Amino acid sequence: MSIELRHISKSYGPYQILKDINLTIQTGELVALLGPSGSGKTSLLRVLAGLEYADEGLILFHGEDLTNAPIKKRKAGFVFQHYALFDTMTIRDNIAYGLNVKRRKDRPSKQQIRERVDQLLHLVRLEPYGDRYPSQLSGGQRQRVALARALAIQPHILLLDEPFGALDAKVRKELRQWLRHLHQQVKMTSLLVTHDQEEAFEVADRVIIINKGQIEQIGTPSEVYENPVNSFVYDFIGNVNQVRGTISDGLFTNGSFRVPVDNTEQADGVAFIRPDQFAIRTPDDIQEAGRTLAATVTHIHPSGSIIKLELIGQDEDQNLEVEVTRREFDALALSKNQQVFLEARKVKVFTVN
Amino acid sequence: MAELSVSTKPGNLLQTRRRVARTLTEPLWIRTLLTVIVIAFIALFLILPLIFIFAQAFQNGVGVYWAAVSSSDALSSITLTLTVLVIVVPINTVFGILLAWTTTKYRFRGKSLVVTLADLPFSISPVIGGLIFVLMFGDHGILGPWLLAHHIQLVFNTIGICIATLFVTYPFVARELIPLMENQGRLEEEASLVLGAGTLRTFFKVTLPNIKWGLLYGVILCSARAIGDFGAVSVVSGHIVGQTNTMPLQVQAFYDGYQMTAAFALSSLMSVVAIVSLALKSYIDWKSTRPE
Repeated sequence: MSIELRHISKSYGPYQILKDINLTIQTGELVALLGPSGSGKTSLLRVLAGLEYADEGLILFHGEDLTNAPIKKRKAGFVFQHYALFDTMTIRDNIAYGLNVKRRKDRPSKQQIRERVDQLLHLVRLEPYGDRYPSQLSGGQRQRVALARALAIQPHILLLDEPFGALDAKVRKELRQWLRHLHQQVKMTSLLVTHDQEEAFEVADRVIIINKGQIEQIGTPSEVYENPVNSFVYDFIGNVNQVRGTISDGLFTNGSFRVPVDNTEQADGVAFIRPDQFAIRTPDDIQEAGRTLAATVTHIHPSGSIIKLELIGQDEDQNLEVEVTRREFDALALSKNQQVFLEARKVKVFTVN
Repeated sequence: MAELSVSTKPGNLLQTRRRVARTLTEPLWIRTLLTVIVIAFIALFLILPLIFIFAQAFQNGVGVYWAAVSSSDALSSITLTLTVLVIVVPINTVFGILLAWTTTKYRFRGKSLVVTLADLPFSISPVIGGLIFVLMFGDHGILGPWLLAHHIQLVFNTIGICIATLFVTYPFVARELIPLMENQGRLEEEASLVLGAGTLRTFFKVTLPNIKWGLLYGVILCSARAIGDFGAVSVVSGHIVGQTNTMPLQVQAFYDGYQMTAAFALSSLMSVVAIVSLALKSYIDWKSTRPE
């Protein structure tokens, strides 16, 4: 079941929270909606589920216009950040709820419901917990119950609102992999809302970056990471160093640091360089002097396979972050307060408005 | 910042905690004195009168007591009170749920005004509550002539008493439910709707089980007040012995007629109701704070 959104807009009083959202999700795709808090991503999900209505625009499920359809007709499975399990019901009753509330002619028999619940308990690996209550389960287990409950009605689409946001880091990581695996099994069209870019990149086929109610970029995780379309996306996705400078005559300049740019107009600019896109050089082996910044090492985080370095540039307020592999680090024999030259392999310059 | 980081050191935290503990605990003699005052007050003003009521009621033996509570006037007042109870409590339960539901689950203009107005019967004297209805529905009231012309009597009878009692008791259920439902939010209801349940089914399957203890608590408070209210009912009833006297009104009638034993006997019955509601209330408290 594909989903298409056309020109969706929504306001709360004077605040416009969704601005002309256009978006297509293909059948069986898992798409992550990634944005900072307050960017409108949860509102968009709720509009899709029918929990809220858009002021303008169209919502099409497999070509069928469901813009003003009631919640029930959309058959959307919804997983909430805080689980929203029914505390007074057992896990089995929670999962069976969507089936039990069906109209009599559509409702499966008791036997069928029992079998379906068994299957789902197996799917979410909670077979022994069927007769417990939600309060007796851990956060990760509860969220798996919530997922089983959403899947029980065989929804057309699965909507997940920060599903792992309330869980601790380790459980979150486990559940992420599990969700990826589950999606490969059931191949359901899914939209996952998150503010955690690592989560979005690990789980999703495609990522939608949303900010202030507008879509900034849509693409596969690697497309978005490699080629951010604007400074917001660059800044939001992963760590990035920002070097301020001026643009004139097709050249971005900060001291001796010069990078050619397409823009020929006179403007202020920011150069974005990822921490892993710096090569550390000694004065002798600088290859392109124009792409090199002089800096002093202020801190070394020696943990893990990637060594993180904090440096300070020649301008006192220019902080830089560099990541090198352990092997490079050992070869360079770096120490604190050492002066080095950072040669940028890849730079992207955006003008500042 | 520097000061903050110092005070979060574990050693300092322990010291701070100890200091807090010392300032929170008064010397033994003060604690004893305050406790004794509280217990003495409760004994003098609450327990002693209760014992006195029963002592007076049974002063002349069980036979006299039984004769007093089974006299036709007493029986008629008991019947009337129970009738009012059966009519008023269900109405106010439904209305209370409705009020709590709309003010906690929906957003609308003037919501806080509605919640404040719901408390009106608590802040206003019941006598005034009763008077309002006499002034509206009485023969010389605003709607009086019209009602008279259509042969509708809304004061000095059971209907009038019910209306007055409705007014006095309507906040009890809502007052219990509003904080409870506000606390629970709308998440579970939304989950139910997304799973395909309608509004009614969502209410009975999800909302009601979550609020059942608070609801029961509110119903008990509402019932206790419906049985015991004197002021509003006194104004609208007209005090017709054997017809429009509820139990509290009949107690006063007996008392005014120097029928002390009968007055105390009927009082004792009402006290039993009060004690039972208290017991139920504590049971519900205990039950609702216990995990599933």
